[in-house]
Amino acid sequence: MNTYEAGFAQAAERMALTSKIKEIIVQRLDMDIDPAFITDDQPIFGRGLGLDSIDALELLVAIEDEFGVTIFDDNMAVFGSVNKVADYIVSNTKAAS
Amino acid sequence: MMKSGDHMINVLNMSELTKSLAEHGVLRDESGYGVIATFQGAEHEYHTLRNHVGLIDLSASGLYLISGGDFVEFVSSLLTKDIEFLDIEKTVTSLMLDEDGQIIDMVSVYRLEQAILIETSAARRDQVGAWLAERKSDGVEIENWNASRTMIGFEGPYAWKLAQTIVPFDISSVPYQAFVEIELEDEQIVFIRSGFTGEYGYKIIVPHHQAMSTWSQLKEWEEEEGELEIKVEPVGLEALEIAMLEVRQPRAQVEGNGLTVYEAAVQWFVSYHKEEYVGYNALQQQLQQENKQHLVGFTAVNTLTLEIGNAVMLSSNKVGHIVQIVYSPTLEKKLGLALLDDACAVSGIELEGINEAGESVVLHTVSSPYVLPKSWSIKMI
Repeated sequence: MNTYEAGFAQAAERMALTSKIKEIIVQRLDMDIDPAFITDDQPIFGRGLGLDSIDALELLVAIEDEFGVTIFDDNMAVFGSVNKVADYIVSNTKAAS
Repeated sequence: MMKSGDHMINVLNMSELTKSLAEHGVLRDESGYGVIATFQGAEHEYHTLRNHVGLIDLSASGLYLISGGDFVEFVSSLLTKDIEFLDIEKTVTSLMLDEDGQIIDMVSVYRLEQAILIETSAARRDQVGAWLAERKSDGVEIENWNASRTMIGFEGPYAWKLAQTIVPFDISSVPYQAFVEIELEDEQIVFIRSGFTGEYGYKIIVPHHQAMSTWSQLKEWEEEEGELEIKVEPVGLEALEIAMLEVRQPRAQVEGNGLTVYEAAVQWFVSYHKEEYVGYNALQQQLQQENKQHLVGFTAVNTLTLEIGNAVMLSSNKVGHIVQIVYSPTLEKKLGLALLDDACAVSGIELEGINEAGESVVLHTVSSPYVLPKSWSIKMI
């Protein structure tokens, strides 16, 4: 079980990652909203953020640029939510190190 | 909740369709409206939803048709989503707030040529009806479609094949969140592509007198897909609620049960730039508050009991409590939502639930969707 401080530190690290992903989505897709308005678990496509397959391709490139992690275009489940993108980045960064 | 009997059937407000189904299932009271909680057991029905086609009695959901000269302005003034430019034959989900910014309901809004149809949850149907009547202006007319129409849903990875038997055109031409008015057995019906579970989902709105024959007709459909014999079976609210939670589809009875928009993490049903609607000012105040909490999904493998209201701890410090918990047959774990302090309300950390007996249960916060719908890997042909 986490210690109190370690748990909060882990949560802070995760928040920093999801915040960065939200900023990338807003900047790269030129969205006119505050990144903080995007929730961690809302769908990125369809009725969530309303993004489409073209936006997905832009995001694939952006994530590779920013995190050095490749998402293949047949793995769209990664874009289930900001949290899913974060999980993918964390697991693939660990795998690479 | 109880096994359906004459007493329940007489006490609860139900459509003729629900009454006819009630003897085969267990009824639940949703604010005075009877809905079928289960037919053959939630787990069996869940597998139908995730692998076949689940047939859902949605007749308890409220349906209000808003028309008249000012119908767009009137409806828009009550919704957090911008609908001014919502295309005809398109639908959107929105929150309806009261003046204190509290969630009245999460509603589906359907844009017809000269009207807007609002679909409510069963539990908030009367509340929404009263709210519409209270706010109504002279240039607006409200028609209660529940007096003449019944809504039926069907969802599952092969629901599109069943849908194809209803529409006289290629089913893949109906985009997600769109609807059309078509004829079925010489009656005008509304055919909608929208659902709750992440699987292919459809709803139809038919005249009352057509409801039972349409239900039977849909239920009888079957088809073989390779070695799989696709079945259509009735699914109750319990299985639906599990599948909804697995894809983090909000429900008014959970996310709207005393939680703020921020706490419920349903800002995505709010148009960021819209300012003119009831509850806007209160919502802005909520969003600016500090020391907030919000909902996060978690799983628990422990067999010990966990219930709504149980405390959630981080290293012996209370950081929140459980607001929903179900068993996910796909995950083979308990799956729930906890309202946690913002500082630890993230996916990927380990917490501890404390049950009524004081026992500790390990919780892992997780990322949505918690289960990937099979439909995401099945293409309509």
